[in-house]
Amino acid sequence: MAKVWMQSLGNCSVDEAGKRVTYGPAQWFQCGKHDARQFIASGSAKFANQRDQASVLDLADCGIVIGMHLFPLLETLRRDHKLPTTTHEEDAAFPFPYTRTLFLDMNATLNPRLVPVGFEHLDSGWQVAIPTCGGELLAESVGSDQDREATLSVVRNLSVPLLDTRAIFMARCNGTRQLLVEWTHEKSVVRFGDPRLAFLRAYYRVQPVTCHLPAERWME
Amino acid sequence: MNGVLYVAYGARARRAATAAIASLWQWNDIPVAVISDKLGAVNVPDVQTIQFPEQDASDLSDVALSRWAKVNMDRLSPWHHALYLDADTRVRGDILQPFRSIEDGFDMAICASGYQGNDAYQHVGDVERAMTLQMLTAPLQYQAGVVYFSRERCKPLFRAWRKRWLEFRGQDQAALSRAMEDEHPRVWLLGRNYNGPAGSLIEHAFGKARAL
Repeated sequence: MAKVWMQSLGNCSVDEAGKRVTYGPAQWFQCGKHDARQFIASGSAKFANQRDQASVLDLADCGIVIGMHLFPLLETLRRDHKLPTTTHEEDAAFPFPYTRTLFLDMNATLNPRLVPVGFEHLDSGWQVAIPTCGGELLAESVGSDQDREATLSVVRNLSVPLLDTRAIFMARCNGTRQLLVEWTHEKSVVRFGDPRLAFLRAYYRVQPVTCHLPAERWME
Repeated sequence: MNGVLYVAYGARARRAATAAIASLWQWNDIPVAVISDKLGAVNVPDVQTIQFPEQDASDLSDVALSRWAKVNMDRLSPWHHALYLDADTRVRGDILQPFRSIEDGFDMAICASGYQGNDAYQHVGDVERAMTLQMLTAPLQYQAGVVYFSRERCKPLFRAWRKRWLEFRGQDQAALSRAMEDEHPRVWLLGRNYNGPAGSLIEHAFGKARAL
């Protein structure tokens, strides 16, 4: 398997000829692509060069759909991962221009190091990858009475955690297309409703194959 | 038809399961089966006992047997839609509602673990934990002590869970995470009031029953 060069930013352990070798800060080492992705996700190493980065993080078919043009996280993602972006007008139908898309809200606090990992989840068979809301925020705790009633009529139980709709990874397929259509529709059902409740209703109806992501790790 | 499954190997687990069933029936009218190595494992009327394994498995500890039984629940459940409850859970209210999510098409309804990120899989052996974290990149860790599931739709997941559990024969939770990465089930996430140390619907002692 092809190996790539990395520079350790902390302590990185890799298998070399059957032995576990640990590299300290600033040391250079070679590792496989899976290990490289793990080191990048944990922030414990960086790529030695752009070519190796491109070979490990295959983001050629990925992009970001955003609600607003400029905010710090987006700048980081553009700089570090060279991802194309498309804007989305509030209340309009969602565009779906990329094979794998990150739908990103202006006030999202997504850990930028994990963005390639989110796209990778879509590559491994999940249709959707989405963080939970921190502190296990339940559907019964948000929204107006009307919004909660609309949600209860669909999902039947409001003692369920909300998903953080500020950052959603989606693979382009019939299921996610339907999910976006349903979500847009549900947002129109309750005027000024909570988008997370609208998403929960759409999610329950469509039931996409979803990789849940822990807020503790994914949101900063 | 829906029903509740417990797994009880050893005298302590059988005592815990007996108390767990009493708490379940205080609030819910639903049939119960206990998977155990002994017929009549719990002394409670109207509880079905499912003997497993049928052949002698005296070389396995009670804990190992209980985990092997758990990852075989798709083969053992008498019901299409089942709720698995750890024997150290105590039910505090009506817990039948999540069956609706299974009837509506989800494969499984389950809670997130209270331990995520760097705290995930702390109860799992070092080698298995390292392998699991190496294989999976930052997904949610689920808590497998309370699991609503469709017996038919979850068959591929249980097959994968058995295979993954046999890799280490230790805890079942990390094996479930790896199996989920293999099979990608449709999961409906429940709040921790369905599975937590202070769960208002299902209170879970998280292994303290074994220490009693």
